[in-house]
Amino acid sequence: MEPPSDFFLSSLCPSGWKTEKGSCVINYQYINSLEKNGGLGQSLPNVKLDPKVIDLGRYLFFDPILSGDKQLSCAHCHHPAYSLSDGRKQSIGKDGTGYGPERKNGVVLKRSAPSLWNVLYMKHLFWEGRAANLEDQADGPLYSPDEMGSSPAIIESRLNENPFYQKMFRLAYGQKGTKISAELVVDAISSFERSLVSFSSRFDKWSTGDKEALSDEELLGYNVFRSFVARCAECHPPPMFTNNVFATIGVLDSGVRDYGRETITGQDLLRGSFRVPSLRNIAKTAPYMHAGNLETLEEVVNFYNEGGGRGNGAPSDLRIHWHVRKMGLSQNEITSLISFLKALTDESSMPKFPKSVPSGLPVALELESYHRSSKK
Amino acid sequence: MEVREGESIQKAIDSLEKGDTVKVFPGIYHEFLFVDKTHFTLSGVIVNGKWPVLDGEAKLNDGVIGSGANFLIENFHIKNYKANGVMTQGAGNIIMRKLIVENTGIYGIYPTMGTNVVVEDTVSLGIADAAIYIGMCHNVDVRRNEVYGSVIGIEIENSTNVLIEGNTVYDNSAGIVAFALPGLPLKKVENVIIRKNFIFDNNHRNFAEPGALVAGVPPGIGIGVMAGDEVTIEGNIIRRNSFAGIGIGDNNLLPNSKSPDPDVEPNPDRNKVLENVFIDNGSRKWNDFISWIFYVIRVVFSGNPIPESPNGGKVGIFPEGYDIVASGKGKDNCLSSPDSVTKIGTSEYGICSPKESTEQIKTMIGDPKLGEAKSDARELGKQVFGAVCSGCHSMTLRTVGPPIKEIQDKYKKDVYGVVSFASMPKKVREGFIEMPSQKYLGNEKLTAVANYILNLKDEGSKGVVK
Repeated sequence: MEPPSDFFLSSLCPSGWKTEKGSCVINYQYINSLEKNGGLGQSLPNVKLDPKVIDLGRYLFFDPILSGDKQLSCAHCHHPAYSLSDGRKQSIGKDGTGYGPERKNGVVLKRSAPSLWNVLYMKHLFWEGRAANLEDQADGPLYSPDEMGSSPAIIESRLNENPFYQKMFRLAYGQKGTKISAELVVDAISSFERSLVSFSSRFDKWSTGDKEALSDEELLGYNVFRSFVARCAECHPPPMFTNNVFATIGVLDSGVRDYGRETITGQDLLRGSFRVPSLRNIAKTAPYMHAGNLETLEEVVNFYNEGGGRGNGAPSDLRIHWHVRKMGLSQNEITSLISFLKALTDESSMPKFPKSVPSGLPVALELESYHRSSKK
Repeated sequence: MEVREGESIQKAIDSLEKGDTVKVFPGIYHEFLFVDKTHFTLSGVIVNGKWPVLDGEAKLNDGVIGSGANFLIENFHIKNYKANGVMTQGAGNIIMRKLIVENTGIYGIYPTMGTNVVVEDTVSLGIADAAIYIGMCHNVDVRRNEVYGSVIGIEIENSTNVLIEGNTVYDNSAGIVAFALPGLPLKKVENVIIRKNFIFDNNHRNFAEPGALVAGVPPGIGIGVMAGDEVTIEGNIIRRNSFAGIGIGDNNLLPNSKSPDPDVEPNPDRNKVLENVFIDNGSRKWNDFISWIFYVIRVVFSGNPIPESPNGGKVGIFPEGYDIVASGKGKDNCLSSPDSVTKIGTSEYGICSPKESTEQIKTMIGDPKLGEAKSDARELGKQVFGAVCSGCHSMTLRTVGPPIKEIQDKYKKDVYGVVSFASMPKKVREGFIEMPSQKYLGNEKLTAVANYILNLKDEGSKGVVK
């Protein structure tokens, strides 16, 4: 496809955001109170973003020009067709071809790509939390030889030679954007990632008073979810469905033993503990867990129901969280719990896929496999 | 709304708006109840000494879960649930009173993540974990409750500003404990007063499920403080707790509580043991030789003196036989009259100032606003306006529909007029298109938004409404 002669940066805020004094702020249309949702006594993120920077970040996110061999973009592993993940057990980095579950022939990475929904809310990035903010996180995949294999020098030289990007950076950053630095690139990508919000699921509609939004079965599922037999809401409290801590549940690894957070802090008490992920859009982001070894929500619920690692032969040197215990849920409870998890789906703010990117390189897009569930 | 035996309490709850009361008459109800509304009262009616009973028959998960602010529950007998008796999640301004809770699998009464919580005049028994469990709350009063026959009587976990007063706590494995646990979103226990309680005979066998955190609690503790800060213990009667009248230690006390959490400060600091009455604590009765032998063998092989401790975790060996047992490092702790109590491990403790007293603090409950849902009706109105109305109505300009100013002039304070018009709009003005019906928003939102619109002030170019 021919790139258009001009890339335009939108000054409109993306879906899920509204304009306030020229900046974009999250439109918490349905989350009208944490208490009302029985949620975590914790404030929701209120960030201000520049719509032009978000849009610039979007192009960079989809553009393989950032990778050493010009083959790999961020979107290959965080793809709209797979709810901003890749539908894989373990992601494939450098030298692979294709994207999503079809991707093959490259370096198989240790873990599963986390979905980016509501990533602005996460206090720790990566499964073991080695980065504290999105800017630091971006350096990981960009410069890892197993992933995009790039470097700041590569990024800067390529983008500064591209007239489209030159213009776009000036548009987004003004004077600061006359010389494109790797730092600005990461800033734009991070802005785009922060814009990926999902707060308008049927659960949110229900929790703000629309009692028809959840079916009886889903409501029963929510009641199982927050009951103290299942205790899901202990670590996954609404409205964010994560408490942002690290937990050892004793889920098995795929292949090599993964010591999780212990590798960062050196504390054996944190062996095999990982970041508690948000459950928003969880029905869309299979397979599950840090190494993707649970393929369906049924498998996940059964894993917990059997007592997590305690009932599934986890290594004995793991200190499994005391909330993870045999539940004894009935089949009906399991089924309804899964139904409830599906009610946390909201992809209405899925970012628009650029048909082409400023580098003119091919983007990871097959129209057939890409269905946007938009509610215009 | 009244509910009588044979009817469903949940149906009644679901049929009501916020601000309502459900009165439940005596009888047995096999239900689990969920209250997802604010300003709600669930009130049992006691007739000739007969209470309404919620009985889970060991089949249902929880008795009552509330998630809305300003929730009051009283006068229920709740028993035989697999998990908790009464639990609130993330809601503030909670009152739980006059409840009998027995034989629930994990906790009896369990408010979590709330601000302004009152638990008073309840009786809990036979709970396999904590009978009353204050989890990650702020501003809590726990008064005049009777708790017995449970693993833990009253537990405060990662909460701040808590008053535990006038409770009768006996025959549990441990009476009253304040723990700062790792791996939770809130990181400390701070500013707790444990005052004027009767805490005796807490020597019950620890029957917690193996693997549960409290399974490692040694039986025989009156008051336990683990990694807590600013816990003041005053005016309690502490009697015949065979392991220790008061135990104060760091996060290494329990097999599961060692802190791998960099945000949890693991030592007990600034705790004060003021004047209390200690009688016959720390005299573990070993009345048969066999138990002794087993005890010695266990200590030798596992370094673990606790009979029911799971996971073989090391807990550190306390000698027995003291009113006050302290371990770990902590700063600025003090005892009022160190010479009148038997104690060990307190060499670093100072002497509290004689003027030290909590007498002037009557309650920890703070401004109700702190516990309110952040979204009062006005906030809801503002949101609905932003999400639904603002596309067609601005303050002073005609956009698609007439400006708010004109609506205000027409309706003045007639909220209901706006609500009914929005539910069933008619064409009013020439040259304007007819507004689609907004009935789908439901009464609460329509009322809130009508109020919001009629009280909206013109802030000129600022566009911000205070």
